[in-house]
Amino acid sequence: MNYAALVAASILIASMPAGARAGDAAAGERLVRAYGCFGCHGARFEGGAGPKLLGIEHRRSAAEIADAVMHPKAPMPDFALSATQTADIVTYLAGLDGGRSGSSPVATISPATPRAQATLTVHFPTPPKHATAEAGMTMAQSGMSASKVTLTPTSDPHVWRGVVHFSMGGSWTVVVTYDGKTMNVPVRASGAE
Amino acid sequence: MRRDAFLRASAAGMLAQAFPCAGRAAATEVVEYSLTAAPLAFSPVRGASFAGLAYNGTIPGPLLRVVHGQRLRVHYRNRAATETAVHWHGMILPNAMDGAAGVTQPPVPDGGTYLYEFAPGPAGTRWYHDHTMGTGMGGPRGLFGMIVVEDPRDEPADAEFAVVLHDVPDLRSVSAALHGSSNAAMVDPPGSAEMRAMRADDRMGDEVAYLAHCINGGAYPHATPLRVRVGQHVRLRILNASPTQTRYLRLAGHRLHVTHADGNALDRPLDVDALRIGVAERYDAWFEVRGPGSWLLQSVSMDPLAFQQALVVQTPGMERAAPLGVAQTLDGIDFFTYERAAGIATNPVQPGRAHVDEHLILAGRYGSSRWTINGRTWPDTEKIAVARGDRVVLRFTNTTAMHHPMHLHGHTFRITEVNGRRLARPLAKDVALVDPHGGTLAWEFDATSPAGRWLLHCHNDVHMVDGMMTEVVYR
Repeated sequence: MNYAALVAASILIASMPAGARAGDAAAGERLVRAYGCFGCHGARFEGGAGPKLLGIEHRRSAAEIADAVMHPKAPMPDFALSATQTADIVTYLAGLDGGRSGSSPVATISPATPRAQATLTVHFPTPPKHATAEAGMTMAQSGMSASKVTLTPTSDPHVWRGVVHFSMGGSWTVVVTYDGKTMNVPVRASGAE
Repeated sequence: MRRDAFLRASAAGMLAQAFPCAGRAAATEVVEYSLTAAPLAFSPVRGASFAGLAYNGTIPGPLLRVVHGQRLRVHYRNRAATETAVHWHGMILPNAMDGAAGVTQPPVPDGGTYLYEFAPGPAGTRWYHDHTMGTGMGGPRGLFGMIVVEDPRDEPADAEFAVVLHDVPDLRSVSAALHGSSNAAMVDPPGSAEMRAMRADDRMGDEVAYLAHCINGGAYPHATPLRVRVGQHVRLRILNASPTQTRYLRLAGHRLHVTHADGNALDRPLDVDALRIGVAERYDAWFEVRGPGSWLLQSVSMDPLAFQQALVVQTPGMERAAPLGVAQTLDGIDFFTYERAAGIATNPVQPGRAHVDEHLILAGRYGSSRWTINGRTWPDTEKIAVARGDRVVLRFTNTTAMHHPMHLHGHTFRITEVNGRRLARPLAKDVALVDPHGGTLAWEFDATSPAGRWLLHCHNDVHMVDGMMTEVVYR
């Protein structure tokens, strides 16, 4: 899975309703090419006859993007796409900018399904003064959290990185706090064997 | 009958409208048109400003219509600030009326006039366009239009539309291509690994970069819809007026019933999913409107399958509906080819001996400024001398990586062989694609046109200007 797809997957998992699946960005890219979306939306999806798609994930929810694809309003053509194809396209579109053009930071987790620990990389549109990450998991009645780590900037001041630890497998949420704001990054940890 | 006033009044919207039902005129009647070429600032898409040239103020130029048997008289005025001449593509006509500047007539200077008068024929979908070889670039800038020579024997259609596919080039890239300094991406066949790997911003699989891709003067979604009604049998007269691009055309939700190639009736009509249309080719294709709906008429280039020309075909009440579209793929799509239309001969008959039998090797390197026939460029190419009544066979071999739509002025030829296979029912045309990478094509025709010099050239404007042209000369 490439960087863009990873970003997209993490965003989608966060924003999609329960039961919806995250799409396959590579399949989405093939569909977007096959249907010639850039004919109207621009070679770099910067907009043209149709709206700008770059950074669309910052302006519309995944469900809204999916609805626009599956139930297009003229002059956007109806390509009679299935729900699976639509999810793939939404995933691809959400990763087009790698978070670079949006107003929100975009986080990636590597590996995508970590066992005990993972590298968290956050791309900030505006470099923050300070950033921390804390992995937490909500259980039946109570929550648990692992260690809080301080993220450090890489050679690119927009990109910050840190290693997050998980004490067990399951659905974790890494809460990134930066300059008084927070963002949630969902992580599915496989857990130590 | 003078149609000048009518043309001036309605030229802007005319192409997209259903053709008026022209009455059958007396065979001796003269139809007169005034045609003026002049600059036009053309903005088919937001942000694209194009220094166009237009006939009577529209790109494409006005649709001209005559009934076979009538005479056509065109009062041509050049106000284009560059030399021009009007070529009547697909017509068999006196050589002096052919409009090849510098060959059959002097170029018409800015401010000058020329009177074109002839009996248009053969019947069918034909076109007219600028034919100068200089730097004016009249064709790429917008000097083209369709002329229909109505065939009284044709089955009447419930509705009929002109569909002119055209592209708006970046004129600097045309200039660069002519000088052999194009840095456009390589051309790959559809479905190739290279093509699949291409990104959206690598779309320039052509020597020329384009600002917009249009049908009837508009880029999607600004092209005027074709309005049809349930139950109608609709005839499309389709012309590819692009300077360089081969197109594949589909109508979502429909198959196309192809009846004419370059205006000439096929021996057997052919039903296809898609048309392949080389530069300057025309096809007449029909479809039946079986129910209410809104569908995209989509035209894509093969290099790569990305440039989209489109307009909407819709029934009343469907104006707000999202039009049904289809993927831009040729996978599993049966499209029109010469072999499919004409069939492959199972027991090829050895053709009779021709009086003239020439082999023309088409060569040139992608991105170069030198495109040759038998190693030479126009005007130094070997000319093909014929005598009246000769049976002439021309055999082409394309050694290049690009299509060459080869066009012969003033004649209708019959394609007899495609890529080494003899056709069962030779296909009557006036321009034909020679496939890249060693593709071959054989034509035959009888030298029965009016005497004179008839150009034979690649209709890719870059290749033509860069030398891929010769002529058939009547001795």
